[in-house]
Amino acid sequence: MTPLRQLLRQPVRLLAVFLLLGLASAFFCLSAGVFASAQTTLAQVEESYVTIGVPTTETKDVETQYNGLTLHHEESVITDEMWKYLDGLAAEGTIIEGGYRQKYISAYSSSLQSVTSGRQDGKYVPALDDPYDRAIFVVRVVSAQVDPPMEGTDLVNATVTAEIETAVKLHPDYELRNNLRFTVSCNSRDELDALDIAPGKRYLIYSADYIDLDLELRTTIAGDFRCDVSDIDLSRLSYELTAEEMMTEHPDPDFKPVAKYVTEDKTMLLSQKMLNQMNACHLTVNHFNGMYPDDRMAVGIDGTETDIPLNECYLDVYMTPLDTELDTFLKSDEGAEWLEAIHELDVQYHSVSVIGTDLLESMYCFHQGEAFVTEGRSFTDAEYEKGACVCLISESTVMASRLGVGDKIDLSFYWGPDPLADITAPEWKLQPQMYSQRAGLMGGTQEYEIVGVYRQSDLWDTADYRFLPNTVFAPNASLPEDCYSSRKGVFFTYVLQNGKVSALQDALASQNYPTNILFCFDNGYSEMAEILHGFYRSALQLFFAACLTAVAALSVFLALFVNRQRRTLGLMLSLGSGKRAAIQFSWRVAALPAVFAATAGIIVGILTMNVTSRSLLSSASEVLNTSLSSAGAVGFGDIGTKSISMPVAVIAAGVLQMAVCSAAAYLYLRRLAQKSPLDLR
Amino acid sequence: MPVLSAQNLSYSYKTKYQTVQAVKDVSCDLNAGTFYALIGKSGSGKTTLLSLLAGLDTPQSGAVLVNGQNLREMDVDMYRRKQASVIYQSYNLFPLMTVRENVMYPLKLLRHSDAGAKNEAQDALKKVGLDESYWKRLPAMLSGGEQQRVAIARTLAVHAQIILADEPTGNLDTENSAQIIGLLSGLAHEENCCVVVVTHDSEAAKAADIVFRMDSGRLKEETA
Amino acid sequence: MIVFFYEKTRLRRGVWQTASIVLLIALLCAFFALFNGFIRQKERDMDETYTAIPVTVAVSDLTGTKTDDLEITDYIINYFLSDQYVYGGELQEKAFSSYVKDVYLKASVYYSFGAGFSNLRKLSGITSVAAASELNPLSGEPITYFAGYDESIFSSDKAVCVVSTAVAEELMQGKDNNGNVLLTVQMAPAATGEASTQIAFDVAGTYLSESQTIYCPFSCVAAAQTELDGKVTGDSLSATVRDNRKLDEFRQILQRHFAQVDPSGHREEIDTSPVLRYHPFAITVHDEMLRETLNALNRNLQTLYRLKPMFACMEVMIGAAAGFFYFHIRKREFAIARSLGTKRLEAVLAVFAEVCVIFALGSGLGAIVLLFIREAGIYYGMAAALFLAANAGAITACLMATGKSGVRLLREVE
Repeated sequence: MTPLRQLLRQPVRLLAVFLLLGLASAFFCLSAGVFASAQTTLAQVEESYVTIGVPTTETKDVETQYNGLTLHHEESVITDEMWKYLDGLAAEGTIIEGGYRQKYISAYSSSLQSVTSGRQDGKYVPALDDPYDRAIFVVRVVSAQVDPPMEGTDLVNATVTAEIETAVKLHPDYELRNNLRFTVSCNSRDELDALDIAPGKRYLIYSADYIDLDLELRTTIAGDFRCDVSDIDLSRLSYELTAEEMMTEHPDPDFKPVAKYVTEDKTMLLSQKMLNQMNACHLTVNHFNGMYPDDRMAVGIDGTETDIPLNECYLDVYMTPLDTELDTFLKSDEGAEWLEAIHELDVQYHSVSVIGTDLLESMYCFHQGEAFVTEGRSFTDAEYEKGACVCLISESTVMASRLGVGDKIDLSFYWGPDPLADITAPEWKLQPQMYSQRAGLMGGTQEYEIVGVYRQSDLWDTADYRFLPNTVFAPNASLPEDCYSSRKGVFFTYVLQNGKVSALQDALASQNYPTNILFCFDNGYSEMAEILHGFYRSALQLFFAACLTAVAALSVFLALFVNRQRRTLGLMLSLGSGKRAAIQFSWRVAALPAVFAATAGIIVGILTMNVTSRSLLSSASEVLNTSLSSAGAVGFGDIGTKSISMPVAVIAAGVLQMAVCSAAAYLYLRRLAQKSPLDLR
Repeated sequence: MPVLSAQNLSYSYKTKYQTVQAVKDVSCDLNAGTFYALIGKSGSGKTTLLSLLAGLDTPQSGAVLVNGQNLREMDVDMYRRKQASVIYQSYNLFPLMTVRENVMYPLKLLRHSDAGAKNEAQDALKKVGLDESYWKRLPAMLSGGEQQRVAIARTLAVHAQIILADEPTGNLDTENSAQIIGLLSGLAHEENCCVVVVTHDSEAAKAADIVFRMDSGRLKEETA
Repeated sequence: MIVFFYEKTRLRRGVWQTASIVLLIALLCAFFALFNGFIRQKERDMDETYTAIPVTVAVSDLTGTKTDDLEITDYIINYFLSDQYVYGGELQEKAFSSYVKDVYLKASVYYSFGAGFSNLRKLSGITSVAAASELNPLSGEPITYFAGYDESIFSSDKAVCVVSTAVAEELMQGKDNNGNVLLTVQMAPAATGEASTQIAFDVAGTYLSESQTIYCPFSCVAAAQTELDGKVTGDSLSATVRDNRKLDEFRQILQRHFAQVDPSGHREEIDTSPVLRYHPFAITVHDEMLRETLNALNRNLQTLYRLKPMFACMEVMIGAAAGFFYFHIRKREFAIARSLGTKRLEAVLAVFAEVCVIFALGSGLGAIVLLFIREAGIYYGMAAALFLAANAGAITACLMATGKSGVRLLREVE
């Protein structure tokens, strides 16, 4: 007789035990699902809180003696010893989770259109537009004047006014102006003379510092009149000044008013210099090639010198007389290098800074909501880990480039001809490097998918911890190894374990280090900590109660069902069955319903959880209204993936129940088998 | 007038494979003070007839008359409480009640007080030869003969007029069987009870005043 | 009577079986109370989350990419500061300002300290250090306050200021007899014909910077602007929300006066607004953390709400199954009782009595367990349902055992 047949001969009892165990199992499985759901929620909430420690940028004056001279320089207040200690804490991982270092590199993408500060009302700062302010024009010289030579150098400058005939290359953000003033810097007087700059002659010029003087003037006037730049109407200018206006005190002693901008209630005096800015622009034409000594080598980002002498990285183009049509010139041998320059600027206008990160929220701006994802999403853990080719792009760039979330862009990384010199310059604000056709791209393009669009609240703020809109964010691991990084500003943050800010301060104090070398921000986690701990505690209590309930159901099963096998066991033993065979037979009879019931419980548990999750997803509505909110959709994309852990928990609970029931039945029967068959009547 | 009388009793039941006509048109009269033995082959319908007489089952046709009154018209539960008592081969004692409690149970059904029920139970137990040392034991701690004595004591305690015993000695040895039969015989002859014993035991049959034989559901009287 | 006799003797024995059922009932009761408590706890957590997480609103240009130098008009500033709120020509019951607590405002005028005006020489009035990004400690420009002064100066209406180290020396040299710095201020740096006024400031501290901006309490600049221009014009404005539970209500009010950020920068026409055809500014509600946290907690709470009836059903069914099973294995006892003349009703009553006792013990034990747990929420309805279910199961088993087929058991020799 098989155990199953024996079971089937007592259908009511079998049904009763099956119902009891099955329901208990489903109950336990579902409780495990609830616990898993609570844990997932907690993990989600915990994950959304990132506590960061931003190293201070404060410096101190350090005095050193060198050859009898007292030298001063600024050094970070965070000493090497402190860095070492903090890195030690990060390695330990109990207070500081880790140091998050951002990487930087420039990249070109034909699909990306860079933006300049002139785009934003009242924010035109030409210095911020470097390197997009490189331009190539065909001009006709109006006047030229050679400046006095600079002392101790062969460099020679000429100041030229000209009319722009054709803008061969100009960043699309800039409006074309008629009048151009430019300065030509040559390496020698001979070079300058060779240009033969004379009024009426045409030239092809290449510059690295385009300034829209007209826009600059309008921005200044708009600032004074507290209105939009677009509202400035220069036809309101009047040249009839009163005596009082002529005598107005001005911080600049050279300021001589010659005109005024008048509105109904205000007047602004303008000097001749300011008037000259109308419909004008300015360039600085530098002859890069030959500017550097022959023995200077290009310094790579890793600090190693490359074989290419720096001079060779720059095209030998700056200004050339143009006696023919531009096209004819460009087709000539002489024009070949200019064609390269045109291509160089094509690349430059589509170049961006790429910042690689291992955690977007570790950066102060993203952490504090000064920058936030408005469309799409941030990176996932898997993307950070695998170095997936996904990126976040600023709203401004996305609009200028007519791109959107889900679009793909090809990024070709590059380094400028003299990267370290640029990056370490104090005025560097994370713009992309100057692209050199000769230094070229790093080879191979990488296709990146735009997964999100971010917005910065103050687009052209240049604080150390900020970045400009031509910045693309990507997972660190997706970038080439050859990238720049530092411990300053946007490049470095410590991520603390949530709730460990005071522990960090205690640790710093214990070393007699100032506690303000790291500025800590926790997004209000300290306020939430108690709530979250309470959440976990009660979820655990509930699960514990479910475990106990399962144990109670198990004891009912042992008392009411397994115990009833004692007669069969006794009979088998009395008939001379071996103990093992008797136990195994009885155990099979007892364990079979447990196995079937637990399986049914798992199925019921999974179905219930799935139905619940699905109905939750289909009715997923936000607790709060999303209008005017900084982020359109927060977190909801994660529910699907995060709820995966629930069925796993349900199955695990069911299997555990099955194993425990079977094992308990076996042990119980083994104990019974120790008795004499007569005692088992 | 017979204490218990069967009139054309018929009873059949269905098994998985067939319909069994267990009792076919059985009629008999059973009197007080008489010890009846009901013998026959296994499956001949003896136990079914006993169940019909005890009111545990209802005949499909015919009637059981108790003191001339149709059992169908009586409160069967009250009939089993006061008038008829059944003794089974497998004793059918409450496993988790002590010997004394088992005997007290039918008395409590008859609303005896705790003390009264206890005294009567103890008396009954003494009558069947179970002294005080047995009273607080659970049935599982007794031998078969002892358990059957408890079952008889349970019958004695309520002073039932009709005692229906289904193979009371089936699980017992000769000595114990003889003692049980003696007890039952005493109930018939000394207590003026109508005792019906279903048995395969020839000794029990020999002790009976009247022997009935069941054969394929039919009842025939044999000479004692 | 027989019921009591039977139960009195029966309950004293078979303790293990009874105990296991009592334990099961106790834990089923306790579990549901805990589950209920868990839900209540989550509801409280949701509520507390509203107070724990700060939400700020920040005024920006329409593209959302500029929050400073905004020329915020006086009526908008008034919404945040005034105790009265007029909308559509009617005085509203609840002031706009009642929805916010800390208001971070910055407004500027241009100062001259003898050498004329320049657009770099700004006198910025702030309500708090947080209103000036330049004073953000991350910029490495911490303020050193002189004795007797601290951050609270910015929320006062005293004529005190904090100057950068770059201009400190020049200003200190030009102090008047009272030790104050006298600044001439006007609305625009270069415009002529502008009205100007003078403010005497006490220097309260310095910050390490090359900037020429002087920071003083907002009230000083507001007073100067009112005198010079007849109104207050702000550079930047943000505020924290007083009660996040009222956030959606506040949003509706904000929508009356501010546009949603439109990255393209087009001014959005609001047809529904009776007063404003255009919104000059956008506003952003920085509620990411609150929403993220609330949504996560809410999803969990919704899961619990949906699972609650399922747990209830399961508990009821477990109770019924356990009750049935517990009495089903005693069917022989019921058959014996029946053969001895026990009525079915008496048997049912005995079962009912036993379930009552077991339930009383079980729920009592459950209640004791719950005494140690704060978050329990006792749910009498569930306890009653469990009680009824256990009875239903038990009585079904009893009725089955005391029926004819049940009594036939007695014929079987085990």
